[in-house]
Amino acid sequence: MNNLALVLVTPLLAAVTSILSRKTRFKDQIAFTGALIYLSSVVLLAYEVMETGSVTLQAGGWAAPYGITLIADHLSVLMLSLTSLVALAIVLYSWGFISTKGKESGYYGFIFFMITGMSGAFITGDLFNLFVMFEIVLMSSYALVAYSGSKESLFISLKYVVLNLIGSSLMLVAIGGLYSITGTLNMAHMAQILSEGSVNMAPILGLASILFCVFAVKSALAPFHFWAPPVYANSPAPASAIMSGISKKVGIYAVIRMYITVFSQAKIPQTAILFAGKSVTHAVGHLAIFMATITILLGGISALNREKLDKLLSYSSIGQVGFIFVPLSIAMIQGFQQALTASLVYIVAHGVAKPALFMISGVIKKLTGTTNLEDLGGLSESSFLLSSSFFILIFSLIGIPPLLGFFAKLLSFQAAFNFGKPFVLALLFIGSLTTLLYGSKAWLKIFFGETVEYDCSKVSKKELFSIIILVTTLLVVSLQFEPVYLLVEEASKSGLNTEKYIETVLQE
Amino acid sequence: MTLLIATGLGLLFASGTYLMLRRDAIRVVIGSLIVSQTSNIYLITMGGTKGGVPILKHGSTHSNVTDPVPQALVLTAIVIGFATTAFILSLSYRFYEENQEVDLDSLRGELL
Repeated sequence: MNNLALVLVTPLLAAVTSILSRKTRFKDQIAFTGALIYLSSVVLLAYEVMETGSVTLQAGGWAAPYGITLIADHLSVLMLSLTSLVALAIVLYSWGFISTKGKESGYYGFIFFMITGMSGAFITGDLFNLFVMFEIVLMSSYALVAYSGSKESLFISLKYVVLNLIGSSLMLVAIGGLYSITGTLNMAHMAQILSEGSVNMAPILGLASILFCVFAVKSALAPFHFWAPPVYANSPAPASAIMSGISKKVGIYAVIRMYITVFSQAKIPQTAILFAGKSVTHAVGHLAIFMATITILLGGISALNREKLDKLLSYSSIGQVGFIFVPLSIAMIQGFQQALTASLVYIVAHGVAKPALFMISGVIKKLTGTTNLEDLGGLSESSFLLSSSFFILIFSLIGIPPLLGFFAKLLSFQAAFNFGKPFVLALLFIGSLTTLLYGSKAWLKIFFGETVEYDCSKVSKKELFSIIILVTTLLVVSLQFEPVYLLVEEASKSGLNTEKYIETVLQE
Repeated sequence: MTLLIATGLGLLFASGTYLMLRRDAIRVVIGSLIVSQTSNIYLITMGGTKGGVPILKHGSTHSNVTDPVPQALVLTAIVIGFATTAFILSLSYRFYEENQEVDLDSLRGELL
């Protein structure tokens, strides 16, 4: 079987198996095995992509523009590797963290369906298929938000579903419009038709802007960020870990794929008043950089005065998405490969660190029953492993060398500097400053100060080990940055190289 | 025909949006469902409104044919919308059970 299909089928099988086995004694072992098999299928696919450059699968044997194409290039493989690693850590963490009652109501099933949707979104080459994969991710996240069944979580889940129903309807509107104008749903074919320039570009610009807003809702970009903090604070810790770490990145990946690869081919005619002769991506990029800088400010400043660790992490995750989007929108405006690389390095840095931080926050809540920063303190005396992990993660988030967050920030600043707009540089600087402030606040309040009694025997080895997996990955990637950088650079090349993308999908 | 459909879609979107701005949670839910169904109707119209059946025969001309692809897309979207509808309705029932109230304004102090 093709490795591409394997990446989609393994989490799906794991989801079905874990729902069937949810009342048996082996539910945890089965889920963990599923995550391991998923990781190895991603490694297999990554190996094949490294050898050949890209792997495609025409579903059902229908030739490219007519059927659904699955395609994995370096960009998809980068996102898939991040997903599979975090998924493994999260399943291991849930093994110790989630109550037996929770697992019996199908918790692992939701996690694996979410992973299925995310891997599908990373490898699909079809716009409507992307919509379906988004819906799979959303459906599982609805259930996970309402999971505890408390008044608050039901209310928040209701708001979340209504918001995403609107988002999905807008996405359908955008997809339908794009189909009626270009006559295709295949992303590569659409890029080819747009590059020929025979279609009317005015609706393309409007539909591309609608689609961008939908992706902005998924990745919680201001002004569509408001759903994120209550959702993350009310889901079980591993679920908020996977939602903030990976599902947000699905929206960002979709922006890279649709805008950097596809819409960059659509040239606005010379007769237009604004952006004449530039690409649609260039025009949307101006909107994106505006939203991204506001996101950095909003996320950073709101995180500063949070009293609870999980709320602080949620707002920080909003600000970090802004940091990812600033170099990304610079890449959209100017097509700089360096800027896209910066954004991808930031995705990796945040995608590894933030889930682990949410996991630690979950452990702290389990130990003390609260995440109020005021009521915590002195954890460094109780648990060396937890406090040193938190130390490394928060330092990477702040951007202290030699950790990965430092390289990510360095590359982003470099991209903003080359972009030549001082206000972007200034806002990046203010954003980094707020990260430093809330990071050190959280660190000082939780780990120093008067000692609260922690019963560290309540933390299971599985929870600790899953946190250590992510921290070790972060350290290894930081210390061996060179090969990772080369892979990420390869990924950003494959994102920018539309000709090769079209050729790979349509010529086979 | 196109003008009629466009006006109808606009009215449906508008009434959905109006309902979503109400303070009653059930109206909000119904409004969002109307919006999602309207986008399905919109999607169908993207295939054209010519009305011909796209069956290939000897000697058939393809000038008067409706594009079948949006109808396939809409089938998928309807199924997804059905699942979401089931979920959101059961969620609002649970919400009512917990609060004995669906008026979002009077719940404001408790939940927000």
